[in-house]
Amino acid sequence: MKRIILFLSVLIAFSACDKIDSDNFIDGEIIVQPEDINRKILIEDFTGHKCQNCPEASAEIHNIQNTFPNQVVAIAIHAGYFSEPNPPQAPYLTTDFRTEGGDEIHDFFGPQSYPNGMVNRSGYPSDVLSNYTNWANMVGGLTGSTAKVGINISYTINGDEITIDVSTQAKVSFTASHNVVVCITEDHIIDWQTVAGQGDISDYEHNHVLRDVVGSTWGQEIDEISIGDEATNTFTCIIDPMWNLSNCNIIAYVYETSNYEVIQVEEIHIE
Amino acid sequence: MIKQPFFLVFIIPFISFGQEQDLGAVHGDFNLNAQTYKEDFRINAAKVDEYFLMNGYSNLRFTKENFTAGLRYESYLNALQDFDSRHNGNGIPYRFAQYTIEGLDVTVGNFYEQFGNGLIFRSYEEKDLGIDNVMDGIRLKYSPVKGLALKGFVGKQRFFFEHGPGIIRGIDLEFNMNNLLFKNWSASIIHGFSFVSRFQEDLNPIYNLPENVGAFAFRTTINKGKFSLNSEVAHKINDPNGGISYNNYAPGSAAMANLTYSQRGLGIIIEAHRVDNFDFRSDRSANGKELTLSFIPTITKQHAYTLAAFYPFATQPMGEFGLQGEVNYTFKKKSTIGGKYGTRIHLNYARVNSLNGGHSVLTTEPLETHTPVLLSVKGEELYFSDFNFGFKKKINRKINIIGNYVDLIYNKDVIQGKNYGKNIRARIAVLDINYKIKPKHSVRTEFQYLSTDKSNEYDVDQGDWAMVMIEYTVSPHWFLTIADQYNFGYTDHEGIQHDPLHYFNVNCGYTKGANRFAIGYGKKREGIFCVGGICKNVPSSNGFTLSITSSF
Repeated sequence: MKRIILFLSVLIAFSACDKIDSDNFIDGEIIVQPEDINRKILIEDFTGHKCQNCPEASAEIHNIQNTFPNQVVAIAIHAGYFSEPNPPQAPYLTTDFRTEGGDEIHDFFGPQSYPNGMVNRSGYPSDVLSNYTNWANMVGGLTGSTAKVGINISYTINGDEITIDVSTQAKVSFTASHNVVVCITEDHIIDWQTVAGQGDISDYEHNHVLRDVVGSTWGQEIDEISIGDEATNTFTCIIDPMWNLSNCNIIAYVYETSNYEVIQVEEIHIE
Repeated sequence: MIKQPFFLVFIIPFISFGQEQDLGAVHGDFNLNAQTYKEDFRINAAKVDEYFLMNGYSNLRFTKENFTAGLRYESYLNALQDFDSRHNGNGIPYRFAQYTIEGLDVTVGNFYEQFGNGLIFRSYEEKDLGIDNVMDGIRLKYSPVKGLALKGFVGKQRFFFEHGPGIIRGIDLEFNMNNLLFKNWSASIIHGFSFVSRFQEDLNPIYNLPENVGAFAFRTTINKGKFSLNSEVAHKINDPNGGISYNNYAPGSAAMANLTYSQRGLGIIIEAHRVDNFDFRSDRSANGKELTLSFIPTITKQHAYTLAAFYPFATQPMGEFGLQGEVNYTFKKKSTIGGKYGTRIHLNYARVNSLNGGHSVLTTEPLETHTPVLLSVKGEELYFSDFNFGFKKKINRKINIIGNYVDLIYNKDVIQGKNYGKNIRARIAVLDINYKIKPKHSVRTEFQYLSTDKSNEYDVDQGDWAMVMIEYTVSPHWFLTIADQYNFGYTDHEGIQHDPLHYFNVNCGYTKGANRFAIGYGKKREGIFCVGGICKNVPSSNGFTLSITSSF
């Protein structure tokens, strides 16, 4: 019996556990990114106004953006079961935040539980979806490198039409084909949301809400292939009167068509 | 996708000779479940692009003396609607080779394993629920002396057709005290100790996460005469989820005990368990049904009849305290109640509530720190309670009847992640009559009724349901089942009116030898399932089903 106890003690000593002391939960280092690093990361958050755990994912995005300032662009895609609006006569949760493009992206990548999301769409096909508590790790692993392509967004508003020019400049030579996609998102929308432990909340602030994937959901092909090549793609978007344009953003991202991985994303605020 | 063609190369030569004894034996089975899907607005069944979906798999196993090798091919083209679409595709996610020599058992490849009751480790499959967290690695079992059994493994866990990120190491020791020390005791005593540790890299930009998370458990089983006691306690060190908004560094714990008494005609079970912050997985950020290591058996009765199982309870691994008691009694033949053939009755009560002030919390905010008191029942939030009783009686040579009554309270907010603010109380009655028409021909009918409490204290949920089922069996080959579930209509808590609805199903099957075929047509109702803060909607459907099972 003594030998067994000795064996057990040795066993436990070897299988060391990393118990973290309470004054050491947070790493001491502060992340400072050098200015010349310009790769930005796209987080697509599949969400819904009836998804009670989704506000936690939104809060996580907010914290990730604070941790990696100016390096993370987010799109909240309201799609799937929990985004279905109540009938108009119902007292709440009647707003339809779904979009055609958002539905198409949702159905293609196929999340079935929420919240759920994609970081740069990396890991396609079987590992592309990840839980929000993993997003910061993934962002941390992807930032810090130089972008393979530079994106510059400019736009003009003419009546209810926005014309968006996206110029892309290749920083490396490409062998695979790439597409550029343009989206409109809106921040600070105050509307109903189901929140875990609180019920249906009337004054929830929805941010990064996908309003429109401009043109095709899968974007336009960009034709530069060698270092330094520049190309401009033009997109035209009809402004929905529902949108509060002063809270809207234009997002453009470039992805590799073979594996859907986003290699660069840029966002500008509509003034 | 796991591709292991060498295993096929290895097995195929044996298959051709498989049935000859001295060359070993090959056995296998096949299972197919397929369904067509039709859009149906009345029951909210959406269009399925593929129209036809299927899950299929086949196990092949080769055995020769003390050597076994096997594999399972799985095909989801595409996965049935109530299964995760990440199953889609084909592959061989399960393959292994195993041999035993002089007390040492070696397994390489995939294996299922459980330590004790499974509190810190259970690798298992439930195909119908879409659960398969099989391990992939190396497992050894050895018994150095009689009465001491050792098990150890290192592996990664299956995640659809991939692996989870954690490396899992585990060891289990079981001491049969009667063999080791107390040879002449009238009681049999078995102790067990197990330890499981997960390694997962810390990539968190803000928090310092534990890369090695360990859990250990101690268990005891004592049998003496008509009594039997089974208990296990487990502890897990800090295991935060890994986000950057919030991390809980509190340790977790789980404890369970059940005492049974049995004698001819009487069985009594008393059971209790307490779970606190005990969700152990092979990926710290996983949730839902994915990558689970810990398994805490549900403490409530698992009802078999459809409407009795309408509001099932699932263990809340983040925290709960549960109690259960059950008495089974058989009235003897030729007694007043027993009648000519005897009568069996059962009485069961179970109750599960929250821990005092919720589960353990330890974060960077000292004010959030919380450790619930060990035992607290009164005044805590009720998660689930179930009082039920029933009987089983043979009336005469032709008629058998079973009756059950269930009165349960269901906290939908906790179990399904809803925001009703009220519990649901449902009362369910079931009558099952089996009538033997003539040799080999029998008719079984089920009458079930579910009524939710309409008082202000409770939520009506989906109101009342009735179900009638008739099954005609010509043994051993044929069966035909016709069933209808009827919802009487209700107004939901958002004020939306739902009309009465029929969910009609017909199924027939043919069994011959090792092959079984069943086809059906009908409607399935939708449901929302939330596990560990992640919610999934299982949509309603309307279509034909086909099921084939076969073995050799």
